[in-house]
Amino acid sequence: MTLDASLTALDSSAVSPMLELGAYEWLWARSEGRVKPSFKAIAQLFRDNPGLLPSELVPADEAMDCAREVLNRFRKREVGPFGFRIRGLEDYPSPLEDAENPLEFLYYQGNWDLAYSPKRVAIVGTREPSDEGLRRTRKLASLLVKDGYTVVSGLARGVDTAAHETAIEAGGETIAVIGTPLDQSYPKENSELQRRIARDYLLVSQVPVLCHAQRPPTVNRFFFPERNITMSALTQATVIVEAGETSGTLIQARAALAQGRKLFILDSNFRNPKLTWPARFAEIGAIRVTDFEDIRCALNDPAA
Amino acid sequence: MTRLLKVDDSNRSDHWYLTAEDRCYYFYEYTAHKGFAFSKVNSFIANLKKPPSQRQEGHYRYKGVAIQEAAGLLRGVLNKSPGLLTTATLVPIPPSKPADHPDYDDRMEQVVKEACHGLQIDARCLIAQDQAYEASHLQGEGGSRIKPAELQALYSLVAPKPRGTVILIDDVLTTGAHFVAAKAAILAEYPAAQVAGIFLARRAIPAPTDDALAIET
Repeated sequence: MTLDASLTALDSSAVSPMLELGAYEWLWARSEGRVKPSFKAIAQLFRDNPGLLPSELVPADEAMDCAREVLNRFRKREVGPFGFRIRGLEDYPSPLEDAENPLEFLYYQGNWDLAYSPKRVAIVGTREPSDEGLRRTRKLASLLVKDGYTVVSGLARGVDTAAHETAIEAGGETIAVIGTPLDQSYPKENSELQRRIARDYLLVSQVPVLCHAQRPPTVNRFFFPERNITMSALTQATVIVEAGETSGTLIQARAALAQGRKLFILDSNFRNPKLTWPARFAEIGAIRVTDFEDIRCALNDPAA
Repeated sequence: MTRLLKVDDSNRSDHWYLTAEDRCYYFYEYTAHKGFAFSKVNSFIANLKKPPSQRQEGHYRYKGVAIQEAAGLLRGVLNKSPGLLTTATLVPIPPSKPADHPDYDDRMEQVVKEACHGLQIDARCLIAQDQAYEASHLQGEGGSRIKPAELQALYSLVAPKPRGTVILIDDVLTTGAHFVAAKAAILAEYPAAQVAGIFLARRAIPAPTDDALAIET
Protein backbone atom coordinates (compact mmCIF):
# COMPACT_ATOMS: atom_id res chain seq x y z
CA MET A 1 0.00 0.00 0.00
CA THR A 2 1.47 3.37 -0.91
CA LEU A 3 1.45 5.83 1.89
CA ASP A 4 -0.19 9.14 1.77
CA ALA A 5 2.48 11.88 1.42
CA SER A 6 1.88 13.40 4.83
CA LEU A 7 2.16 10.01 6.49
CA THR A 8 5.39 9.38 4.61
CA ALA A 9 6.71 12.68 5.92
CA LEU A 10 5.74 11.74 9.45
CA ASP A 11 7.38 8.35 9.05
CA SER A 12 10.65 9.72 7.75
CA SER A 13 10.85 12.28 10.55
CA ALA A 14 10.64 9.50 13.17
CA VAL A 15 13.70 7.75 14.55
CA SER A 16 13.91 3.99 14.00
CA PRO A 17 15.46 2.39 17.09
CA MET A 18 16.38 -0.67 15.02
CA LEU A 19 18.28 1.44 12.53
CA GLU A 20 20.18 3.17 15.38
CA LEU A 21 21.05 -0.17 16.96
CA GLY A 22 22.38 -1.41 13.63
CA ALA A 23 24.29 1.78 12.94
CA TYR A 24 26.01 1.61 16.32
CA GLU A 25 26.96 -2.02 15.75
CA TRP A 26 28.22 -1.09 12.27
CA LEU A 27 30.55 1.54 13.71
CA TRP A 28 32.20 -1.15 15.83
CA ALA A 29 32.17 -4.12 13.47
CA ARG A 30 31.76 -3.08 9.83
CA SER A 31 33.34 0.30 9.27
CA GLU A 32 36.43 -1.29 7.65
CA GLY A 33 38.85 1.01 9.42
CA ARG A 34 36.90 4.21 8.81
CA VAL A 35 36.06 4.38 12.51
CA LYS A 36 38.47 3.01 15.10
CA PRO A 37 36.44 0.54 17.15
CA SER A 38 36.82 2.01 20.63
CA PHE A 39 34.59 3.91 23.04
CA LYS A 40 37.01 6.82 22.83
CA ALA A 41 37.01 7.02 19.02
CA ILE A 42 33.23 6.64 18.80
CA ALA A 43 32.67 9.31 21.45
CA GLN A 44 35.03 11.54 19.44
CA LEU A 45 33.06 10.86 16.26
CA PHE A 46 29.92 12.21 17.95
CA ARG A 47 31.78 15.17 19.45
CA ASP A 48 32.81 16.02 15.89
CA ASN A 49 29.22 15.58 14.68
CA PRO A 50 27.14 17.13 17.45
CA GLY A 51 23.45 16.34 17.43
CA LEU A 52 23.72 13.48 14.96
CA LEU A 53 22.46 9.98 15.63
CA PRO A 54 24.42 6.86 14.61
CA SER A 55 22.11 6.32 11.61
CA GLU A 56 23.11 9.68 10.20
CA LEU A 57 26.73 8.52 9.88
CA VAL A 58 26.21 5.01 8.53
CA PRO A 59 24.79 3.53 5.28
CA ALA A 60 21.20 2.59 6.12
CA ASP A 61 21.07 -0.80 4.37
CA GLU A 62 24.26 -1.96 6.06
CA ALA A 63 23.00 -0.71 9.43
CA MET A 64 19.77 -2.67 8.97
CA ASP A 65 21.77 -5.80 8.10
CA CYS A 66 23.75 -5.39 11.33
CA ALA A 67 20.58 -4.88 13.37
CA ARG A 68 18.97 -8.00 11.89
CA GLU A 69 22.10 -9.98 12.73
CA VAL A 70 21.94 -8.83 16.35
CA LEU A 71 18.23 -9.61 16.66
CA ASN A 72 18.72 -13.07 15.12
CA ARG A 73 21.62 -13.78 17.39
CA PHE A 74 19.67 -12.74 20.47
CA ARG A 75 16.69 -14.82 19.37
CA LYS A 76 18.83 -17.92 18.76
CA ARG A 77 20.63 -17.52 22.05
CA GLU A 78 17.33 -16.92 23.89
CA VAL A 79 18.33 -13.59 25.36
CA GLY A 80 14.69 -12.66 26.05
CA PRO A 81 13.20 -9.18 26.13
CA PHE A 82 15.77 -6.41 25.95
CA GLY A 83 15.88 -2.70 25.30
CA PHE A 84 18.52 -0.11 24.52
CA ARG A 85 19.29 3.54 25.08
CA ILE A 86 20.62 5.98 22.50
CA ARG A 87 22.50 9.11 23.44
CA GLY A 88 20.74 12.28 22.30
CA LEU A 89 17.26 10.82 22.69
CA GLU A 90 14.91 11.00 25.66
CA ASP A 91 15.46 8.38 28.34
CA TYR A 92 19.25 8.38 27.97
CA PRO A 93 20.48 8.59 31.57
CA SER A 94 22.07 12.00 31.99
CA PRO A 95 24.66 10.83 34.62
CA LEU A 96 26.40 8.91 31.82
CA GLU A 97 27.27 12.26 30.23
CA ASP A 98 29.81 12.73 33.04
CA ALA A 99 32.06 10.02 31.61
CA GLU A 100 35.07 11.25 29.67
CA ASN A 101 33.79 9.39 26.62
CA PRO A 102 30.03 9.13 27.07
CA LEU A 103 28.47 5.94 25.78
CA GLU A 104 26.61 6.44 22.54
CA PHE A 105 24.48 3.37 23.05
CA LEU A 106 23.78 0.71 25.65
CA TYR A 107 21.70 -2.45 25.89
CA TYR A 108 19.66 -3.37 28.92
CA GLN A 109 17.33 -6.03 30.26
CA GLY A 110 14.85 -5.87 33.12
CA ASN A 111 13.52 -2.86 34.91
CA TRP A 112 15.10 0.23 33.31
CA ASP A 113 13.43 2.42 35.91
CA LEU A 114 16.12 1.32 38.40
CA ALA A 115 18.65 3.44 36.50
CA TYR A 116 16.73 6.38 37.94
CA SER A 117 16.45 5.08 41.49
CA PRO A 118 17.47 8.11 43.53
CA LYS A 119 20.30 6.48 45.52
CA ARG A 120 22.80 4.29 43.71
CA VAL A 121 26.13 3.05 45.05
CA ALA A 122 28.63 0.73 43.37
CA ILE A 123 30.39 -1.93 45.41
CA VAL A 124 33.47 -3.30 43.66
CA GLY A 125 36.62 -5.23 44.36
CA THR A 126 38.77 -8.21 43.59
CA ARG A 127 37.63 -11.48 42.03
CA GLU A 128 39.53 -13.30 44.77
CA PRO A 129 38.58 -11.64 48.02
CA SER A 130 39.65 -12.79 51.48
CA ASP A 131 36.99 -14.20 53.81
CA GLU A 132 37.07 -10.86 55.61
CA GLY A 133 36.58 -9.06 52.28
CA LEU A 134 33.55 -11.18 51.46
CA ARG A 135 32.09 -10.61 54.92
CA ARG A 136 32.60 -6.84 54.56
CA THR A 137 31.00 -6.88 51.10
CA ARG A 138 27.89 -8.62 52.42
CA LYS A 139 27.60 -6.34 55.42
CA LEU A 140 28.03 -3.23 53.30
CA ALA A 141 25.49 -4.35 50.69
CA SER A 142 22.85 -5.17 53.29
CA LEU A 143 23.36 -1.86 55.12
CA LEU A 144 23.10 0.05 51.84
CA VAL A 145 19.88 -1.79 51.00
CA LYS A 146 18.51 -0.96 54.42
CA ASP A 147 19.21 2.71 53.69
CA GLY A 148 17.33 2.46 50.41
CA TYR A 149 20.31 2.32 48.06
CA THR A 150 20.36 0.37 44.83
CA VAL A 151 23.52 -1.75 44.84
CA VAL A 152 25.43 -1.57 41.55
CA SER A 153 28.23 -3.94 40.61
CA GLY A 154 29.86 -5.75 37.70
CA LEU A 155 28.72 -9.38 38.08
CA ALA A 156 32.32 -10.61 38.26
CA ARG A 157 33.41 -13.41 40.56
CA GLY A 158 34.19 -12.45 44.18
CA VAL A 159 33.17 -9.07 45.57
CA ASP A 160 30.75 -8.28 42.71
CA THR A 161 28.85 -11.55 43.06
CA ALA A 162 28.58 -11.17 46.84
CA ALA A 163 27.31 -7.59 46.44
CA HIS A 164 24.54 -8.57 43.99
CA GLU A 165 23.51 -11.68 45.91
CA THR A 166 23.33 -9.87 49.22
CA ALA A 167 21.30 -7.00 47.77
CA ILE A 168 18.79 -9.50 46.39
CA GLU A 169 18.65 -11.57 49.60
CA ALA A 170 18.13 -8.39 51.61
CA GLY A 171 15.10 -7.55 49.45
CA GLY A 172 16.83 -4.59 47.82
CA GLU A 173 17.43 -3.52 44.25
CA THR A 174 20.51 -4.18 42.18
CA ILE A 175 22.02 -3.21 38.82
CA ALA A 176 24.69 -5.28 37.07
CA VAL A 177 26.89 -3.55 34.49
CA ILE A 178 28.54 -6.38 32.57
CA GLY A 179 31.61 -6.58 30.36
CA THR A 180 30.08 -9.05 27.91
CA PRO A 181 27.19 -8.66 25.44
CA LEU A 182 23.71 -9.56 26.70
CA ASP A 183 23.91 -13.00 25.07
CA GLN A 184 26.93 -14.06 27.11
CA SER A 185 27.91 -14.24 30.73
CA TYR A 186 31.22 -14.26 32.51
CA PRO A 187 32.08 -16.11 34.62
CA LYS A 188 29.88 -18.98 33.45
CA GLU A 189 28.85 -19.85 37.01
CA ASN A 190 27.13 -16.47 37.21
CA SER A 191 24.85 -17.09 34.25
CA GLU A 192 21.89 -17.93 36.51
CA LEU A 193 22.45 -14.79 38.60
CA GLN A 194 22.70 -12.78 35.37
CA ARG A 195 19.40 -14.24 34.16
CA ARG A 196 17.77 -13.35 37.46
CA ILE A 197 19.07 -9.78 37.38
CA ALA A 198 18.02 -9.45 33.73
CA ARG A 199 14.51 -10.54 34.62
CA ASP A 200 13.81 -8.94 38.00
CA TYR A 201 16.36 -6.12 38.36
CA LEU A 202 18.46 -4.30 35.79
CA LEU A 203 21.26 -5.62 33.59
CA VAL A 204 23.27 -3.13 31.52
CA SER A 205 25.75 -3.90 28.74
CA GLN A 206 27.61 -1.43 26.59
CA VAL A 207 29.42 -4.17 24.67
CA PRO A 208 28.72 -4.21 20.91
CA VAL A 209 27.41 -7.64 20.01
CA LEU A 210 28.80 -8.21 16.50
CA CYS A 211 32.22 -6.79 17.28
CA HIS A 212 32.51 -8.98 20.37
CA ALA A 213 31.54 -12.04 18.36
CA GLN A 214 34.31 -11.51 15.81
CA ARG A 215 37.14 -10.70 18.21
CA PRO A 216 39.29 -13.13 20.18
CA PRO A 217 38.91 -13.27 23.99
CA THR A 218 42.33 -11.65 24.43
CA VAL A 219 40.94 -8.47 22.88
CA ASN A 220 37.44 -8.76 24.32
CA ARG A 221 38.78 -8.68 27.88
CA PHE A 222 39.33 -4.93 27.44
CA PHE A 223 35.58 -4.49 27.63
CA PHE A 224 35.68 -5.32 31.34
CA PRO A 225 37.51 -2.20 32.57
CA GLU A 226 35.38 -0.09 30.17
CA ARG A 227 32.24 -1.19 31.99
CA ASN A 228 33.81 -0.02 35.29
CA ILE A 229 33.79 3.53 33.91
CA THR A 230 30.09 3.18 33.11
CA MET A 231 29.36 1.68 36.52
CA SER A 232 30.93 4.69 38.16
CA ALA A 233 29.04 7.17 35.98
CA LEU A 234 25.75 5.43 36.71
CA THR A 235 26.20 5.83 40.48
CA GLN A 236 26.77 8.60 42.97
CA ALA A 237 29.59 6.77 44.73
CA THR A 238 31.87 3.76 44.46
CA VAL A 239 33.06 1.70 47.42
CA ILE A 240 36.18 -0.41 47.00
CA VAL A 241 36.14 -3.35 49.38
CA GLU A 242 39.42 -5.03 48.47
CA ALA A 243 41.68 -4.71 45.44
CA GLY A 244 45.19 -5.66 44.37
CA GLU A 245 47.79 -3.33 42.89
CA THR A 246 46.83 -4.08 39.28
CA SER A 247 43.12 -4.66 39.75
CA GLY A 248 40.61 -3.45 37.16
CA THR A 249 38.81 -1.97 40.14
CA LEU A 250 41.36 0.84 40.10
CA ILE A 251 40.06 1.90 36.67
CA GLN A 252 36.76 2.56 38.39
CA ALA A 253 38.52 4.43 41.21
CA ARG A 254 40.11 6.79 38.70
CA ALA A 255 36.87 7.22 36.76
CA ALA A 256 34.88 7.95 39.91
CA LEU A 257 37.12 10.85 40.91
CA ALA A 258 37.34 12.15 37.33
CA GLN A 259 33.53 12.11 37.07
CA GLY A 260 33.10 13.98 40.37
CA ARG A 261 31.74 10.90 42.16
CA LYS A 262 32.57 9.96 45.73
CA LEU A 263 35.14 7.21 46.14
CA PHE A 264 35.25 5.23 49.37
CA ILE A 265 38.10 2.88 50.22
CA LEU A 266 37.69 0.50 53.14
CA ASP A 267 40.29 1.06 55.85
CA SER A 268 41.64 -2.50 55.65
CA ASN A 269 43.23 -1.65 52.28
CA PHE A 270 45.25 1.14 53.89
CA ARG A 271 46.47 -1.22 56.58
CA ASN A 272 47.76 -3.71 54.01
CA PRO A 273 51.51 -2.90 53.65
CA LYS A 274 51.65 -4.53 50.22
CA LEU A 275 49.30 -1.93 48.71
CA THR A 276 50.33 1.52 47.51
CA TRP A 277 47.13 2.48 45.66
CA PRO A 278 44.99 3.37 48.71
CA ALA A 279 47.28 6.22 49.77
CA ARG A 280 47.62 7.36 46.17
CA PHE A 281 43.85 7.67 45.73
CA ALA A 282 43.36 9.19 49.19
CA GLU A 283 45.70 11.99 48.13
CA ILE A 284 43.55 12.87 45.16
CA GLY A 285 40.17 12.77 46.91
CA ALA A 286 39.20 9.25 47.94
CA ILE A 287 37.59 8.89 51.36
CA ARG A 288 39.05 6.37 53.81
CA VAL A 289 36.24 4.70 55.74
CA THR A 290 36.38 2.57 58.86
CA ASP A 291 32.70 1.83 59.26
CA PHE A 292 29.36 2.27 57.55
CA GLU A 293 28.63 5.46 59.46
CA ASP A 294 31.55 7.14 57.60
CA ILE A 295 29.98 6.21 54.26
CA ARG A 296 26.50 7.21 55.35
CA CYS A 297 27.68 10.62 56.60
CA ALA A 298 29.64 11.37 53.43
CA LEU A 299 26.76 10.26 51.18
CA ASN A 300 24.34 12.47 53.07
CA ASP A 301 26.66 15.47 53.01
CA PRO A 302 26.38 17.13 49.61
CA ALA A 303 29.50 19.21 50.26
CA ALA A 304 31.75 16.31 51.22
CA MET B 1 12.25 18.99 20.48
CA THR B 2 11.40 15.51 21.67
CA ARG B 3 11.72 13.21 18.69
CA LEU B 4 9.15 10.73 17.61
CA LEU B 5 10.30 7.10 17.51
CA LYS B 6 8.95 4.16 15.53
CA VAL B 7 7.75 0.80 16.62
CA ASP B 8 9.87 -1.47 14.42
CA ASP B 9 11.25 -5.02 14.33
CA SER B 10 13.50 -4.28 17.31
CA ASN B 11 10.70 -3.53 19.75
CA ARG B 12 7.39 -4.71 18.28
CA SER B 13 7.42 -7.96 20.25
CA ASP B 14 6.79 -5.92 23.43
CA HIS B 15 3.32 -5.17 22.00
CA TRP B 16 1.97 -8.54 21.03
CA TYR B 17 -1.14 -7.51 19.09
CA LEU B 18 0.84 -5.32 16.69
CA THR B 19 2.00 -6.66 13.33
CA ALA B 20 4.50 -5.28 10.83
CA GLU B 21 1.50 -3.68 9.04
CA ASP B 22 0.80 -1.41 12.00
CA ARG B 23 2.39 2.03 11.93
CA CYS B 24 2.93 3.18 15.47
CA TYR B 25 5.05 5.98 16.84
CA TYR B 26 5.92 7.09 20.35
CA PHE B 27 7.86 9.74 22.26
CA TYR B 28 9.02 8.00 25.40
CA GLU B 29 9.82 4.52 26.55
CA TYR B 30 9.53 3.20 30.06
CA THR B 31 9.51 0.08 32.16
CA ALA B 32 7.26 -0.08 35.20
CA HIS B 33 7.91 -3.48 36.74
CA LYS B 34 7.20 -2.24 40.23
CA GLY B 35 4.80 0.56 39.51
CA PHE B 36 5.74 4.08 38.60
CA ALA B 37 8.71 4.78 40.76
CA PHE B 38 11.63 6.87 39.66
CA SER B 39 12.00 8.14 36.12
CA LYS B 40 10.64 11.38 34.71
CA VAL B 41 8.67 9.50 32.08
CA ASN B 42 7.09 7.23 34.66
CA SER B 43 5.85 10.14 36.73
CA PHE B 44 4.59 11.94 33.62
CA ILE B 45 2.46 8.91 32.73
CA ALA B 46 1.36 8.34 36.33
CA ASN B 47 0.24 11.99 36.57
CA LEU B 48 -1.60 11.81 33.28
CA LYS B 49 -3.49 8.73 34.44
CA LYS B 50 -4.59 10.06 37.82
CA PRO B 51 -8.20 8.88 38.16
CA PRO B 52 -10.89 11.56 38.20
CA SER B 53 -12.09 10.18 41.55
CA GLN B 54 -9.02 11.95 43.03
CA ARG B 55 -10.18 15.29 41.68
CA GLN B 56 -10.43 16.83 45.15
CA GLU B 57 -6.88 15.90 46.12
CA GLY B 58 -4.04 18.42 45.85
CA HIS B 59 -1.81 16.26 43.65
CA TYR B 60 -4.54 16.07 40.99
CA ARG B 61 -3.34 19.37 39.53
CA TYR B 62 -0.32 17.47 38.12
CA LYS B 63 -2.73 15.76 35.78
CA GLY B 64 -3.39 19.11 34.12
CA VAL B 65 0.33 19.77 33.86
CA ALA B 66 0.84 16.37 32.21
CA ILE B 67 -2.00 17.02 29.74
CA GLN B 68 -0.33 20.29 28.74
CA GLU B 69 3.01 18.56 28.29
CA ALA B 70 1.42 15.81 26.21
CA ALA B 71 -0.32 18.41 24.03
CA GLY B 72 3.04 20.13 23.51
CA LEU B 73 4.60 16.89 22.26
CA LEU B 74 1.79 16.33 19.79
CA ARG B 75 1.85 19.94 18.62
CA GLY B 76 5.55 19.49 17.86
CA VAL B 77 4.69 16.67 15.45
CA LEU B 78 2.05 18.78 13.70
CA ASN B 79 4.52 21.62 13.34
CA LYS B 80 7.10 19.29 11.86
CA SER B 81 4.73 17.51 9.49
CA PRO B 82 2.34 20.30 8.45
CA GLY B 83 0.96 18.15 5.62
CA LEU B 84 -1.08 16.33 8.25
CA LEU B 85 -3.15 19.47 8.85
CA THR B 86 -4.93 19.05 5.53
CA THR B 87 -4.81 15.29 4.98
CA ALA B 88 -5.32 13.71 8.40
CA THR B 89 -8.00 13.27 11.02
CA LEU B 90 -6.65 13.11 14.58
CA VAL B 91 -8.61 10.76 16.80
CA PRO B 92 -8.20 10.13 20.52
CA ILE B 93 -8.62 6.48 21.51
CA PRO B 94 -11.82 6.37 23.60
CA PRO B 95 -11.47 6.10 27.36
CA SER B 96 -12.34 2.83 29.06
CA LYS B 97 -15.44 4.30 30.78
CA PRO B 98 -18.37 6.02 29.02
CA ALA B 99 -19.28 9.65 29.76
CA ASP B 100 -21.86 8.85 32.44
CA HIS B 101 -19.42 6.76 34.50
CA PRO B 102 -17.89 8.37 37.66
CA ASP B 103 -14.40 7.34 36.50
CA TYR B 104 -14.87 8.71 32.98
CA ASP B 105 -11.54 10.18 31.94
CA ASP B 106 -11.34 12.13 28.68
CA ARG B 107 -7.67 13.06 29.10
CA MET B 108 -6.69 12.03 25.56
CA GLU B 109 -9.52 14.09 24.09
CA GLN B 110 -8.19 17.05 26.10
CA VAL B 111 -4.64 16.38 24.89
CA VAL B 112 -5.74 16.32 21.24
CA LYS B 113 -7.93 19.40 21.62
CA GLU B 114 -5.13 21.34 23.29
CA ALA B 115 -2.53 20.22 20.72
CA CYS B 116 -4.75 21.36 17.84
CA HIS B 117 -5.82 24.63 19.44
CA GLY B 118 -5.95 27.38 16.80
CA LEU B 119 -5.11 25.01 13.94
CA GLN B 120 -7.35 24.18 11.00
CA ILE B 121 -7.30 20.44 11.42
CA ASP B 122 -9.90 17.71 11.65
CA ALA B 123 -9.46 16.45 15.20
CA ARG B 124 -12.35 14.70 16.92
CA CYS B 125 -13.75 11.64 18.67
CA LEU B 126 -14.38 9.53 15.60
CA ILE B 127 -14.77 6.44 17.73
CA ALA B 128 -17.52 6.15 20.33
CA GLN B 129 -17.66 3.53 23.01
CA ASP B 130 -21.03 3.00 24.61
CA GLN B 131 -20.23 0.47 27.27
CA ALA B 132 -17.72 0.35 30.10
CA TYR B 133 -15.10 -2.34 30.50
CA GLU B 134 -12.51 -2.69 33.22
CA ALA B 135 -9.48 -0.49 32.52
CA SER B 136 -6.81 -2.94 31.49
CA HIS B 137 -4.29 -1.61 34.00
CA LEU B 138 -6.53 -3.14 36.63
CA GLN B 139 -6.21 -6.55 35.02
CA GLY B 140 -3.35 -8.94 34.41
CA GLU B 141 -1.38 -8.86 31.19
CA GLY B 142 -2.61 -12.33 30.32
CA GLY B 143 -6.01 -13.91 29.85
CA SER B 144 -8.17 -11.45 31.74
CA ARG B 145 -7.08 -8.57 29.53
CA ILE B 146 -9.64 -7.50 26.96
CA LYS B 147 -8.93 -8.68 23.42
CA PRO B 148 -9.03 -6.46 20.30
CA ALA B 149 -12.09 -8.22 18.87
CA GLU B 150 -14.03 -7.71 22.12
CA LEU B 151 -13.05 -4.07 22.17
CA GLN B 152 -13.96 -3.55 18.54
CA ALA B 153 -17.45 -4.82 19.32
CA LEU B 154 -17.85 -1.93 21.78
CA TYR B 155 -16.75 0.68 19.24
CA SER B 156 -18.95 2.56 16.79
CA LEU B 157 -17.92 5.31 14.39
CA VAL B 158 -19.25 8.86 14.55
CA ALA B 159 -19.98 10.68 11.24
CA PRO B 160 -18.72 12.40 9.15
CA LYS B 161 -16.21 10.38 7.15
CA PRO B 162 -12.61 10.99 8.25
CA ARG B 163 -9.87 12.21 5.92
CA GLY B 164 -7.65 9.75 4.08
CA THR B 165 -5.19 9.41 6.95
CA VAL B 166 -6.42 8.71 10.46
CA ILE B 167 -4.01 9.15 13.33
CA LEU B 168 -5.09 7.51 16.55
CA ILE B 169 -3.72 9.17 19.67
CA ASP B 170 -3.27 7.36 22.97
CA ASP B 171 -1.15 7.74 26.06
CA VAL B 172 0.51 4.37 26.51
CA LEU B 173 1.19 1.55 24.08
CA THR B 174 1.14 -1.72 26.01
CA THR B 175 -0.26 -4.77 24.23
CA GLY B 176 -1.55 -2.72 21.30
CA ALA B 177 -5.12 -4.06 21.78
CA HIS B 178 -6.80 -0.65 21.70
CA PHE B 179 -4.94 0.48 18.62
CA VAL B 180 -5.67 -2.74 16.75
CA ALA B 181 -9.37 -2.62 17.70
CA ALA B 182 -9.77 1.04 16.74
CA LYS B 183 -7.93 0.53 13.47
CA ALA B 184 -10.12 -2.46 12.61
CA ALA B 185 -13.27 -0.50 13.43
CA ILE B 186 -12.21 2.31 11.09
CA LEU B 187 -11.15 0.00 8.26
CA ALA B 188 -14.41 -1.92 8.51
CA GLU B 189 -16.27 1.21 7.52
CA TYR B 190 -13.60 3.02 5.46
CA PRO B 191 -11.38 0.34 3.90
CA ALA B 192 -9.27 2.92 2.02
CA ALA B 193 -8.25 4.83 5.15
CA GLN B 194 -4.59 4.83 6.20
CA VAL B 195 -4.43 4.44 9.95
CA ALA B 196 -1.40 5.20 12.15
CA GLY B 197 -0.96 5.58 15.91
CA ILE B 198 0.94 8.12 18.00
CA PHE B 199 1.53 7.24 21.63
CA LEU B 200 3.04 9.38 24.37
CA ALA B 201 4.99 6.39 25.61
CA ARG B 202 5.46 2.74 24.96
CA ARG B 203 5.94 0.16 27.67
CA ALA B 204 9.23 -1.59 26.94
CA ILE B 205 9.78 -5.10 28.26
CA PRO B 206 6.65 -6.55 29.86
CA ALA B 207 7.13 -7.18 33.57
CA PRO B 208 7.59 -10.89 34.29
CA THR B 209 6.12 -10.90 37.78
CA ASP B 210 4.13 -7.74 38.37
CA ASP B 211 1.74 -8.12 35.50
CA ALA B 212 -1.07 -6.61 37.55
CA LEU B 213 0.82 -3.32 37.36
CA ALA B 214 0.92 -3.21 33.60
CA ILE B 215 -0.87 -0.11 32.50
CA GLU B 216 -3.18 0.82 29.71
CA THR B 217 -6.46 2.65 29.64
